[in-house]
Amino acid sequence: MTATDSVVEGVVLCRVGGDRLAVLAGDVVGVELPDGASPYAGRLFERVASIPADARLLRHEVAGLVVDALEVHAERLALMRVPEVMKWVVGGALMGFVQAAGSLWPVVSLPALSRHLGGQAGRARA
Amino acid sequence: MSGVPGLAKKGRWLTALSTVAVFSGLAVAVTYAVAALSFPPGTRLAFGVLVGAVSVAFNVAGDVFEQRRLKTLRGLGDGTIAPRPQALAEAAREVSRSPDTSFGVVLVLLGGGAMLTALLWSLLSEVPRSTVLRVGFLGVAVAPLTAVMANLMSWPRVRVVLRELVAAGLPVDAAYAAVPARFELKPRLVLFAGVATLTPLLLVADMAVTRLGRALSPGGAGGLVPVLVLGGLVLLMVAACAWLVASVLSAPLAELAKETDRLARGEFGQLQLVPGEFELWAAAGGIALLEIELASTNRRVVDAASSIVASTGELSSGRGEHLSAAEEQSAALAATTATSEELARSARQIALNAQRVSELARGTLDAARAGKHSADAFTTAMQQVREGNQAIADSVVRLNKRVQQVGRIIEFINGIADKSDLLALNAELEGNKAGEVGRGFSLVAAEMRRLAESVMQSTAEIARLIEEIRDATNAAVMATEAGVKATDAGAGLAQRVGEGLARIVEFANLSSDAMQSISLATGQQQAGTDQLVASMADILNSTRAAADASRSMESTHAELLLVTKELDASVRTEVKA
Repeated sequence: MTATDSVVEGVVLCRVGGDRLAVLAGDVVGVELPDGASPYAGRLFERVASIPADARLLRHEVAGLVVDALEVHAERLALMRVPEVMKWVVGGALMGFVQAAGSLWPVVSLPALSRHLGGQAGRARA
Repeated sequence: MSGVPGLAKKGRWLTALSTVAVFSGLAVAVTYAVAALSFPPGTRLAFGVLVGAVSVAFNVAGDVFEQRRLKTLRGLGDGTIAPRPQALAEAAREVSRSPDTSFGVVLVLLGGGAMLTALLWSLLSEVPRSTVLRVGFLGVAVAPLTAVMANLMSWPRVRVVLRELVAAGLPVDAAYAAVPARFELKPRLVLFAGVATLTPLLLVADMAVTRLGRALSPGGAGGLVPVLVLGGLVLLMVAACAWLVASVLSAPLAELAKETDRLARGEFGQLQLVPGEFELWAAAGGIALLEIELASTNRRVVDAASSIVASTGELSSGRGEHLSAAEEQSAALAATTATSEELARSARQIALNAQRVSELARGTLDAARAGKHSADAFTTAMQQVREGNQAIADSVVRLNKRVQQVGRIIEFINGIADKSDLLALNAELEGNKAGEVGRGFSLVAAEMRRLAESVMQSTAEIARLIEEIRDATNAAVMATEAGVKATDAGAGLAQRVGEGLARIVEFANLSSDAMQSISLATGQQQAGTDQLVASMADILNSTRAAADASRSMESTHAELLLVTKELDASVRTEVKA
C-alpha cells in the first residue's frame, strides 16, 4: 500500500461494535486471533464490552490491535486531511478520513494507536 | 319292741283246731279199731301205747311245721317285725295259706301215723297180716275226712286274723291285692262231698261186714254197740264238716250282701274287709275295687260340680263385661282391619319398589362390571403408553447425543473455517500489499474468505439449529419424562380405579343379592299381609258373631245356672248321705 498526501491504496476497514476505523494495510503484519495482551480497539470508543469470540488481532511489528471484524479494501481512496486541532487526538494516531463502502472511515496509524492504547492500559493497571 | 296287740299268739291260735281235728279222727280210728279189729291176746297194750306215742310225736312235728309257715305273723305278734304294710301283707299271705297247710299236715300225719303204727305193732307183737293191713287202711280211710275237717275249722280263724291285720294297719285294698284269688270252690266242694260220702261208706261197710260175720257166729249178737258208736262218730264228723262248709260259705256271702247294699245306698269311703275263700274272696276283692272306683268317681263328680258352680258364678258375674269387651274388641278389630288393609297397600308398594330397586341393583352390577373391564383395558393402554413414552425418551436421549456429536463436528468445522478465514484474510492482505501483482491473489483470497465466512455463517446457523434441537430435545426429554411420570400416575390411578371398580362390583354383587332377597322377602311379606288382612276380616266377623252369641248366651245363662245349682245340690246330698 502506498500512502500519499491525498490518496491511500490498501486499507483495512475495521468494525468495533457500531463504530468503524481504518488502518493502512501496510502497517499490518498479519491477522491473528486475539492473544489476550493486545489492546481492544473498543477503548477508543470507550466501550467496555467484552471482546467478541470472533474478534481479530491486527498484528503489528511490535504490538497489535483487537477489532471485532475487518475486511481488506484494495481500492485507491482519497485521504481527507485531519484538521490541525485534531492531530494530537488519540496520541497523534489519526491520519485522516476515507470514503469507502458508502461510509466515512477514520484512518489511524496502527503502531501509534497500539502504543496509545497500550499506554492507557498500563496507566490503568498502574 | 312290743308286738301288735291283736296278733299276739295268733299263730298258735290259728293252728290249734287242726290238733282238735287230728284227735277227732284219732278217736274215730281207735273206736273203729276196737270195734272192728280182732286183737291177738296180749297186744292191746302195745297197740294203745304205739297209737298214743305216734299220735303225740306226729302232732308235735306237724305243729312245728305249721308254725314255721307262719313266722311273719308270729314276728308281728311278738314284736320282732315292725308292722309295716309289706310285713302285714306277707302275714296275710301266710295266714291265707294256713288252712291248706293244716289239710296237708293232717292228711300226711294221720295216714302216715296209721301205717307207722301198724308197722311197729307188727314188729313188736304177733299180729296177723290182715290186721296190720286193716290198721293201715284205717288211717288212709280216716285221714281225708280229718284233713277236710281241719281245713274247714281253720277258715273262720283265718278270717279273724285277717281282720286283725287290717286293724293293725294293712289297707283293705292291699289285703285283697296281697292274697291272690283262687277259683277253687267247685273242686273243693267236690272233694268235700266225695270225702264225706266215701269215708262213712268205707268204714261202715267194713264194719258191717266184720260185725255181720261175728253176729252170724254163735253168741255174737251183742256186738252192735261199737258199730253204732262208730257210725255216730262218723256221722257227727260229717255233720260237723257240713256245718263248717255252710258257715264258711254263708258268712262271707252275708257280709258281701251288706257291702253291696251299703254301696247301693251310696255310702262310699267305708271300705270293709270281707274275709272269704276262693271265689268269695275274689268277689269281695272285686266289690272293694268297685267301691274304691266309685268313691274316686264320686269325688271327681263333686269336684266337677263345684267347678261348674264356681265357673257358672264367674260366668254370671263376667257375662256383662264379656259382652261389653266383645263389643269393644269388635270395634278395635274393625280399626285394626282398616290399618291392616293400609299396611297391605304399603306392603304392595314396598314390594314394587323393592323389585325396581333390585332391577336397578342388577343394572348397577352390570355397569360396574363393564366399568371394571374398561378400567382394566385402560390400565393396559396406560402401560403401553408408558412403554412408548419411555421408548421416545430413550430415542430422544440418543438423538441428543447425536446432536451433541454433530455440534462438536460443527465446532470443528467452524474452527477450520475460522482459520481459513484468517488465512484468507492474511492472504488477501498480503496480496493487497503486493500491489497490482497481488491483486488477483487478493481476489482469490477474498473469495476464499467469503467462502470461509459463509461456512462460518452456515456453521453458526447449524450451531443455532443444533442449539434449538438441543433445547427441543431437552424439552422433549423433559416432556417425555413428564409423560412417563404422568403415565405412571395415570397407570396408578387406573389401577386404583380398577381396584375401586372391583370393590364396586363386589359391593354391587352383594347389593344385587341383598336386593333380590329383599324383593323376595317383601313379596312374602306382601302375601303374609294379604293373608293377615283376610284373617283380620275373618276375626272381625267371628268377633261380631261372638258378640251376638254373648247377647244370646245371656238369655240361656239363667237356665244353665239353675241346672248347675240343682246338680251341685244333688251331688252334695249324695256325698253327705
